[in-house]
Amino acid sequence: MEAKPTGQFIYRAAHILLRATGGIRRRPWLHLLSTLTLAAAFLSFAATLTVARNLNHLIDRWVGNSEMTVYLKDTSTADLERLRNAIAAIDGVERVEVIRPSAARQNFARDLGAFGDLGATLPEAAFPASIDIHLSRRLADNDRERHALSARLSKVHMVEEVEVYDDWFKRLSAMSTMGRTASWGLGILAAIVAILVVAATVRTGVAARRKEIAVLRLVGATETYVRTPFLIEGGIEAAIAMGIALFCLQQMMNHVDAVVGGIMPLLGGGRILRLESTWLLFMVVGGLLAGLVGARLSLRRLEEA
Amino acid sequence: MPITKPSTNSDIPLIRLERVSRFFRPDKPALFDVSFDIARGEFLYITGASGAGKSTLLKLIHLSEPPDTGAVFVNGHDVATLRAGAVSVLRRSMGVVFQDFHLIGDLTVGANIGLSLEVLGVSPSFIARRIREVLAEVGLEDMEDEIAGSLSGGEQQRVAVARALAPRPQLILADEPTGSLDAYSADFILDLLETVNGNGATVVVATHDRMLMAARPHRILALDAGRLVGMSPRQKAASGHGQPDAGVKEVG
Repeated sequence: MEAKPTGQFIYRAAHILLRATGGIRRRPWLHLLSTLTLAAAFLSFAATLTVARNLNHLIDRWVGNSEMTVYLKDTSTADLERLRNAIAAIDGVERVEVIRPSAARQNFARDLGAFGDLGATLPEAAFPASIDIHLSRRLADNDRERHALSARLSKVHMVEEVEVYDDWFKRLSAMSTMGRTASWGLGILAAIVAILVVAATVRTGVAARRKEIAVLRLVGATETYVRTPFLIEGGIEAAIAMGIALFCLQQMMNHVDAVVGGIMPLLGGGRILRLESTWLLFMVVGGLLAGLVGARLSLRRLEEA
Repeated sequence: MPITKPSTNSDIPLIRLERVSRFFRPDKPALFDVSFDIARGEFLYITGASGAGKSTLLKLIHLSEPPDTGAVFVNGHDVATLRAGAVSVLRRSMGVVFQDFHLIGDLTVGANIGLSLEVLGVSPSFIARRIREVLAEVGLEDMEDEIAGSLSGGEQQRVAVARALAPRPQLILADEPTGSLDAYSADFILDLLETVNGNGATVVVATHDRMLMAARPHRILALDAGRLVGMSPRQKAASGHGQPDAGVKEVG
């Protein structure tokens, strides 16, 4: 009576899938509740990850702009060129960029974002010429050498001030570390929540279908045939929950963009970043795996049944 | 030879138990040193008082439980040497019927019967067709979409028999199949089992009902406190129909 091996495999897979979706249909409220619980856990993780990503981006922008800025007194063009060349020749300096007052004013207006008009009204004289210095990684990461260079440049007669951004870097780095730690922590927490919630849901399903499982075994179902629908049920539930969480996150980001997107340049962060599609895919797969693990854990009891 | 295919050698019994014992308590065996064969096409009663070991014996034949000592052979294969997957495959060639039906109460009649067909890996259209056929065999043509839990006891047992028959098994194992039924329903179920037996399937019925065995005589295997205490001789033609029983003789 059994079909050909290929047909058997396809039909069994179809029956298993129907059994899994049937399990969800037979207890819709339980599955809805656990899916929403999972979605809330995943959303908190995804939101924290997004915040951490934006903090990192902010730091990258600051670090990427320059590691050191030399503000100059009123200086002739010739002196400015000489100083630029001299700095560029220093070991450990990768690139030097002269920012003239007009460019400084434009940059300021751009950084003000929605309030850019305010910057445009200020006179050029309010913006001293400056030189942005981009250091090699070796020098940028070495506080002592960086400060030595700063002290050396401060002694040049045409230099008004040297900004090394230490406070900003430290604060932003601390925030970034905190954001990264929080996102990892919440990620682990979300995975644990997912595993526990899916395990509890599947366990309830197993208990409700204990008789069905017994009958399936009686009529010759293999353990794989008995267990796989529950695994699929857990995986589907967690993946859907992650999908809901990411959809909610996108809606939240749209709202955040509308409210604070205009003033983000003030913080030097440019536009608000969202999670990339590879990350979204990774998170859906991660949710699916957490669901499978949760379901697998709950199925240990089946061995005793 | 595939384990579920009938042997071409007619000397090989469908089921053979060799000195099988099963203990749930060390001092009180559920079965002790039981040996016998079941031929293909045979109709066999296993009888004895409650606790005699009838259900345990059926579970051993169905491979739901392993023997503690001794060996169970199906189609000539020692089941102790089979992998778990192969045991599941072997079970697909057996239909089981219980006193308490073992139906899923909140599923439809069709879905309950479909369970025994799904595991075979056959198409949904075949399953639908076979459900209709087998429901006709048990006289429940119009009940496919009824919720199993809403049926009477007699109807539920017919559904259980239909589920057992659906995969066209070589062997039907029935544990007190008429124990909770009225006389009319019990007769109907026994008629069905005898018809299936007449079509070539082997049928093993565990029962303590002497009137039933007297009314429908077949080979009898008697148990007492887990020991095989009597076995009537096998009838000439193992088709199961109609030959008066020669009476149970003591063994051992």
